[in-house]
Amino acid sequence: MATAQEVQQIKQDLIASIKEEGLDPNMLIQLGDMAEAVLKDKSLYPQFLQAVVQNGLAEDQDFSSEIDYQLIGFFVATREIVKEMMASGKLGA
Amino acid sequence: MGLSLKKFGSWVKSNIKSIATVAAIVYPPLIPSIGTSLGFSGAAATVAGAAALSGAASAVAGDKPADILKNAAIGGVTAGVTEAVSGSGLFGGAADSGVIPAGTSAGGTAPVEFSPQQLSELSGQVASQGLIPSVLSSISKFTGLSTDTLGKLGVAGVQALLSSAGASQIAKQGKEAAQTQADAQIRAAQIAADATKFRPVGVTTRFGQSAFTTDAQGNVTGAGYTATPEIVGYQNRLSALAEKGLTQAEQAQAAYAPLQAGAQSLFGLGQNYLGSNLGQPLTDMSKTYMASQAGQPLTSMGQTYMNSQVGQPLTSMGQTYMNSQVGQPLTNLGQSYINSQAGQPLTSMGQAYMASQAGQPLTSMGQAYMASQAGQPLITLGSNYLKQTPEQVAADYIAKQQALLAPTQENQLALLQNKLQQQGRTGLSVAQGGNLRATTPEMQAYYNALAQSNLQLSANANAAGQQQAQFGAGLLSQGLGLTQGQQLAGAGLYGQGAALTQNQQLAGAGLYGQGVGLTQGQQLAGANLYSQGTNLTQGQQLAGANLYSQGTNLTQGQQLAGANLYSQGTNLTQAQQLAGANLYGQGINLTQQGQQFGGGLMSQGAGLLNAYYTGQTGAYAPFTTAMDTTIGLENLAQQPMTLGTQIGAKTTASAAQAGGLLSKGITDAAKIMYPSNAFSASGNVLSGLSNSPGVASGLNSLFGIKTYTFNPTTSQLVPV
Repeated sequence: MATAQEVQQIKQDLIASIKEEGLDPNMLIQLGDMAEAVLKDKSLYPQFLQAVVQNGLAEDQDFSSEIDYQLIGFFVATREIVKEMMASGKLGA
Repeated sequence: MGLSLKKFGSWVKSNIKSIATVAAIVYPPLIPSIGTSLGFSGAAATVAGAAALSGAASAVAGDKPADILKNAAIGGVTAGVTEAVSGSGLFGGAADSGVIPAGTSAGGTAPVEFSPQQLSELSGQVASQGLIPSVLSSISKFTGLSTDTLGKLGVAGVQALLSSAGASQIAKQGKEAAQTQADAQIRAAQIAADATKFRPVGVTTRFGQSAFTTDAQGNVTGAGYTATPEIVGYQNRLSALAEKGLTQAEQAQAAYAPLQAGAQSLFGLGQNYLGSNLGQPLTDMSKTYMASQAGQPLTSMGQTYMNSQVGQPLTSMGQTYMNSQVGQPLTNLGQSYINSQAGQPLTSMGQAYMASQAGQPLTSMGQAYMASQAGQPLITLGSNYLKQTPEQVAADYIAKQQALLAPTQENQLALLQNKLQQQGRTGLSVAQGGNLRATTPEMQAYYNALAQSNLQLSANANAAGQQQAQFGAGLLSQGLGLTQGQQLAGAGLYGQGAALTQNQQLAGAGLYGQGVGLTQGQQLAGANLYSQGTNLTQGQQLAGANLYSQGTNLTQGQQLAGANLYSQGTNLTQAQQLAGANLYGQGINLTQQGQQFGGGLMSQGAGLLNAYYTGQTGAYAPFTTAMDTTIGLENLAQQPMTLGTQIGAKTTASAAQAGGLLSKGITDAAKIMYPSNAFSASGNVLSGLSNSPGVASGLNSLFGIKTYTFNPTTSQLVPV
């Protein structure tokens, strides 16, 4: 279990990475929504991967046909962190 | 999982697992959602979700839920949890039926159901063969325990394990061991939770003093502060000012009401303009123009003309004429005449005659006669006769006559002498007067006769000399005449032969000239024919070229005319479409202008409305200023409580770390106790629990135990 400090550090690193790469926060929120949608309907997983690839975050060969729940968790967590940072003004829309 | 995020870089790749773990914190519904996605419900969904999120569980589509949980248990992530949930029916009754429950060990394998007969056989193998690898492997498959663990149990332990009574005992002991270790974990968690309790510190400043209250267990039950009298005095005075300001604000609405009415009027007018489409007629008209194909007939006609091949017949005919070889027969005939050698026989014959030597025999014979010396013997003979003088001829004549007469005379002398001797008178001589000598008469007579003969001979010798010269001259003359006659005849023959040859050669020259003339005549005629044929062909080809040019010009003329028509049509269409576009632009502009006008009215209305609200907001300024100042004073008074909280947070973090270390010590102790419970499936489970931080969270969740952590960002305790 991560400590609060570790969680905070991860948030800061993630936001720094997003800013450094110039990623669109809304795009990350949308991918997080799609990741959560996969949990309700597994058949959406290919579309979710396609969206990740189309946004330039990964390439087709990076994925297998199996549902990667860490990947799902990553994008859901990113969505939540981005939302939180946008609400606090630390990350622009 | 093979993720290679291009833009996030290596940091994301190396931290994705921890970020995924954070997901459960920043978004608690995630784990049960994943578990539900995997086909679980309730507590099992939480366990399976945590396993999948941690990456320890297989999430291949189509996996059975039990397999997912088993795999999670094998990975040690959810060890212990499966034991707990097995009683809920997922693997219900497994231990009683001789199957060790799933998730029995860290590093073990899922159990396999064996029949009683197989169990008996396994027990027999243990007794007879001991714990050899193959037997241990079979028992490991049956029990789910690792071979190392089985080896530690020994033969007796394994046999006991294999017996049904032993299995039951193992299950029971396993449960007890699980409970013991779970209790230890719970205790550790409680210690850790106690250590993380928030312990604020009392702080006093010149503006106020903090005031925290706690219960008997040390839990914070209340937090507050006390402002200094100075601050309270300021706040009271500001409160009076705020009262007045609020009254002014309440009266402002009525004062600014006209602005609101004006704004509403402008809004209504502006909305009418905004909804207008003044340029619609123009845009509608423009669409017609923009869709216009007015020039289409011209372009079509132009295309037809551009494709015209009207001059094709002429060009075809011209090509045919250009390929014409009409004069070819004449040129061929001319070539054959040019190559003619018709006079060749005559020239050959003439050459033969010119080379003739027909008179050669006559000239040869003539040359032979001309060289003749037929009279030479006569000439030689005559010359020989002419070589002696008459005296020599006379002398030769006398000598020869005397020689002829000598024998006879000598014979007569001898006879006379013989006669005188016989007559004895040989010595007798008779004088004869003068200077003649005395001799006998006979002798005298004799000599007289001899002298007389010589005289006669001498006379005859002169005549003989003359006759010989005449004879020689006659012979010479005859010889010369003979030679001259033959040479003259040869010259005549030579002349005849030469004339004959000359005549024949002249005749040959005549023939040769005739042959040459004949050949030249034919060749000249051939050249004339060749020239006529060539001219005829050239004439036709030139005529063909003329026709071809006329056809090409005709086609080009029509195609150019077509291009011109096409261009005119295109320009016409474009002009209409451009006019349409212009109309469209005008219509759009007109609409936009109307809407902009409406927008301007709306903006003016908004300005009035803004002024309405600004005025009212401004009316609040005295009140808000007083209130803001009061809040600032309150914050000053609140600082002691904030500082106390922050200091307490730092103290709590240190205590939490100490508690965590103590919890770890207890957990490690449980692990040390593990070997004594190794044969117990539940013991293995608890041991596995100590290997994963995630397990503690799962267990706590299942057992209803909550842990908290302090969030320095929000200064709040949040459930973990």
